[in-house]
Amino acid sequence: MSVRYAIRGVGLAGGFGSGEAALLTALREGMPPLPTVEVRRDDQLIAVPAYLADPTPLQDYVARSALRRADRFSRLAMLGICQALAGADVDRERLGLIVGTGYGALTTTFKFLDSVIEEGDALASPMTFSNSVHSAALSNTSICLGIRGPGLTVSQFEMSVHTALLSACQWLAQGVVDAVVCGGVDEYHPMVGYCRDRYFGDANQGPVAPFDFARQSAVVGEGVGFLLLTRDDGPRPVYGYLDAVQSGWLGAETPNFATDAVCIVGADGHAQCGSAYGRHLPEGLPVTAYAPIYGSFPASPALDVAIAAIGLKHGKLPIYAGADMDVAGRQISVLKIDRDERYALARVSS
Amino acid sequence: MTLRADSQGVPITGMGCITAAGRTLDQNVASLFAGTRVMAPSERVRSSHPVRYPVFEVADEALPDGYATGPECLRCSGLALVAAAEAIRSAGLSATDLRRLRVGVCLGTTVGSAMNNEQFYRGFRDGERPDMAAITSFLHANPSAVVARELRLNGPCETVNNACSSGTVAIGQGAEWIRAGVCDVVLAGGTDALCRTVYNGFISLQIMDEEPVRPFDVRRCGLNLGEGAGVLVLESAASQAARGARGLGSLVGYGNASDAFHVSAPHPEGRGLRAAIETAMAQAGIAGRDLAFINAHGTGTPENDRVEGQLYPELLPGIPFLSTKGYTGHTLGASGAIEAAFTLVSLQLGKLPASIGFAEPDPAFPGRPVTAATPVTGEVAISTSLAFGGNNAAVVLAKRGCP
Repeated sequence: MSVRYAIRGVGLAGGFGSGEAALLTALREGMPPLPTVEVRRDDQLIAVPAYLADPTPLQDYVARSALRRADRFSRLAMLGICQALAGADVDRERLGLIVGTGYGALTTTFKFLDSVIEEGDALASPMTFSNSVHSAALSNTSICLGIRGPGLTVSQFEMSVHTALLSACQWLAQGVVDAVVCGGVDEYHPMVGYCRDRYFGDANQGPVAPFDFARQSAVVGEGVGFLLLTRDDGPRPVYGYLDAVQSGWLGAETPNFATDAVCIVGADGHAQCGSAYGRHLPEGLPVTAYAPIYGSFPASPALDVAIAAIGLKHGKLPIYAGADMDVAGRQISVLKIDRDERYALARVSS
Repeated sequence: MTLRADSQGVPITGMGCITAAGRTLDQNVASLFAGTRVMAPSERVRSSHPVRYPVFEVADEALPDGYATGPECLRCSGLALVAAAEAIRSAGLSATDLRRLRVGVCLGTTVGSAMNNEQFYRGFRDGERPDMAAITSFLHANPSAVVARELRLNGPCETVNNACSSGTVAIGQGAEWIRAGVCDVVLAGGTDALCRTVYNGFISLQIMDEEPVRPFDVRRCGLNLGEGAGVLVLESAASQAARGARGLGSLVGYGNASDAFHVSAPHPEGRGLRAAIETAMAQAGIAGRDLAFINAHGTGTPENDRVEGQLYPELLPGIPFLSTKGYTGHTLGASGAIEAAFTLVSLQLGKLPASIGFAEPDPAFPGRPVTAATPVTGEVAISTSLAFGGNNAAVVLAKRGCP
């Protein structure tokens, strides 16, 4: 992919709050103490920290009455999408929407199973069933915002967001849309907390140490990130450009980085994936990670890409608990590696 | 008819398919033209609902070892592996080719990505310590990732979750990878397995038929669920030429559009479906009269069939159409891929199977599917899918590239 695409809008929310201002505050002033969620371990309830997102600011964009049928997963997605679209003059019939998600609408998925278990097979809830599909966020958003262009939901665990971005570039290249809102979302559910506790036990409680690759330090999170992308045929974009999306298997190839690149790695405190970062990152490459402000969830690269775009806007990449990094004229590579040692890389620049 | 010179058709060099109608594409096609359908209440997917709805189920022994039992997402991956293996054989791709070429995987599914293991969740709710094997399986069972991992493929992976249009969308997206030069080869298609959650869910929506499904018939009252997978080998013209591979046809158009109307009902005038068809035909550079036939979504639900039965005569007058779901059941995220394979085979054979299950027209709309094996002429045909949430997709397939 040699053509680049303009980033015209950014939306994001997570444990740090909602929007660019909340993000920058969290990065510069540090995260407040995290809320806790209860996880049942044997006969006890254990309090563990969690990075939880609040979809309430969505009401600044969409009337509450229009949201009554949208579940929390859809609302979280819509919050990021509305922020990315804010102020943009886009024909909704020529606007595409791509949602990457690792787990989909978890709360509604389990709510449907609750209805089966509590009411019986014959009295399961039809409303929750139709909203339990992974594409619920895509559907509810297109309905609420009147987006009638192509729609796509992809679910590839940690790779979901990068594959979503790849498809967005192709839609723009093919000319089937004038703009695409593309990103990712995942929500927390107590089942996720329970599973993580079973897998990781006390190592699930942080603090997140993304560069201590061998140590399990991940903390569960949730959040959303979206970009508004267009072809490079208008005014210079505030948030820079998406230059390329690349993916492959580390067993067969190694990702390439520009000589002056800065790299945002998706290392989030998972030891299994973390070791791969340690083995495959070139020596001397400046790297940073943002899991300490959003936690661990599959669609988190959406936040990394959004943060990179915000960094390009300011010419400086804000660093958690550190000095800003000058990125003017440099390429930022957003890297994620999954448990199969597949990698995905998104490159952005000003 | 002349396909648009710049329509950038993507060669199709292999196909594979597994459904209750057959374990290979040839077996499926034989069932279609013999008019046979194998359906029954499932012994594996049980519900306490008083009605035991018939389903189209694949026999366990047709799946690879380790994929037939356990979480349904694993069964989805097993079905995908069967169809992918047949497609690869059909394309003449060797293990060396798969290592040497950049091969992507783009598969649609619904069940294959869902973290809804009921047994595990019941244990969790009840305060037990359910076995984590179900979750570990889920984390390793993403259909596209399984196919890429098993075949050690190096290209991009994408699992599409657009509900019932997933298979069609995955083929369209995979074709775009070829056009963009991202891959030499893409294994594109869809896979889905029967499971209790989906079975109970469709019952709750009151759109399951106790009888064999009757697409477009006045007495239709719902769908029959099915399971299966379909995979097409999409390949760049350069790679096809370098391998000297035969062409089975090509994908010449893809459209995808949203109704922006309702979470579980199609737009009453088929707004998004119309847009998807028009986009696909524009990409192919064809007019409606060029189509040999339409492979409709045709689920047998009152609303879906009313919308399609109204739209096709209006938008594509005189073009014959059919639903093949009477032979396979509604295989959800796999259906678009399975039906794309059926579409291409029908083009090659120059005939359509009967739209089984249809007997009496519905006076509410003018559309009538073909009722018997029907000769067709022409170079191109279209296959359509509709989905929950109002996503619509269409692919135009051409027999250009046939030996």
